[in-house]
Amino acid sequence: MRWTRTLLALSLAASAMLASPALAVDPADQIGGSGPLQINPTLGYIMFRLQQKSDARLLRIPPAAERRKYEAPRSFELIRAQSKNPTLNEADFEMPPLELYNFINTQMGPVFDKIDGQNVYLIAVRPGTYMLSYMLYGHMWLSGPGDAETCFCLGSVAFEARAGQVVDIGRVRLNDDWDGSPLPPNPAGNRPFALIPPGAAAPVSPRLQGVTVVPARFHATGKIPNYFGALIDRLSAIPGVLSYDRDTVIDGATGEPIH
Amino acid sequence: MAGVAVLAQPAIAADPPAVVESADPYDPPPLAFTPTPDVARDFDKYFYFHRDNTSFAEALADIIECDYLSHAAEFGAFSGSRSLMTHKANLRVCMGYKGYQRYGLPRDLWLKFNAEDSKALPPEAEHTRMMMQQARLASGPAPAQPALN
Repeated sequence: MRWTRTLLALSLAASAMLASPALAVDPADQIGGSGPLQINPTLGYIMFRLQQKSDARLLRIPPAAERRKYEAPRSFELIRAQSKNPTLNEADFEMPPLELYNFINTQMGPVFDKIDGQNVYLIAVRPGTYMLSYMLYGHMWLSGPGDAETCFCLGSVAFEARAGQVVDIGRVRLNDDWDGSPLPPNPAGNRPFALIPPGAAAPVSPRLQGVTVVPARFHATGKIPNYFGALIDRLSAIPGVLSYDRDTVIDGATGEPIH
Repeated sequence: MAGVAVLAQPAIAADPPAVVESADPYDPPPLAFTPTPDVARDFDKYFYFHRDNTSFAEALADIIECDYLSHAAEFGAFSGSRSLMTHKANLRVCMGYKGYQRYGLPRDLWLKFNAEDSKALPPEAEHTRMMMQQARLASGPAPAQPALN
């Protein structure tokens, strides 16, 4: 029951945090223009396709060393917080999760290319492991909530973006894309989103000639907090990558549950 | 703890009571009602969960987890700005994936163990009581009424 108590504490703590200051999400370095892509060898590149133009939010998963560095000045931050609020107990003091500084947001445009009726998006990122965390569907603002903003808080995938190359994560199928047969609705009656990994014969933009393009190697990720208070859902199962046993995320490669 | 202390007092008998509320503050209220079309129209808004073969501890853990995931996490950028509809849709998704079924209620009964204010959570003791009662219902006897879709 220890984790139950922890969750209860977190849940109750949320009530005290409702007035916390807003943290902005950084816009992604989204590539448009025309002509061949000039690769910056110090950056990674993430490519994805959408039938309808939309926004997406990715979470860069902070490496352990970064997490340690972030948490080191906790005692300093505590003293600073106590100087503003003398009644603050150490036990009640929490720093904002490091994750909140690691979201990036793509926007409806610019589009890198259009191939086979799909909008191809390309963003330049710090190399690292990324997770498709949110889909912002419809006409929405980078910094504001939308009614149909959906978080894949209950199951998603992560992949690595290496320096000097493009990682192709395939197509994100929005919940009202019109091609193919519709997916069965989730328990709230809404259609789910799906990630369709790139096929072996996926056509590549002529703008990427001479650039190393690799298909993403996905691994399943477990539940994450609903940082932005969005609608919650999960990506549809992906054979060999992501499946579910009720609400438990199963690593499709090992068959092991992810807690 | 004030909320619990008050609730723990014996119910004052009305004239004469059809049902007596339990002195145990975590016992859910009696849920007998007549499902008129007016009441049924609001079942999408007012409901509770139940799953067969589920212990109280499992149900409580599930309810706490789904409550936590259904609204903005602490330090969330847009905390408190979401609608109650989003919160309820999220509970349906989270509990639904866990295999719970949903049962409709009239608003007045629902309000006995749920909060309707979307801007702030109820005080801690009240929030705890609500989740405890929800967990007892979720793990208790199977409801006589049919489950909602």
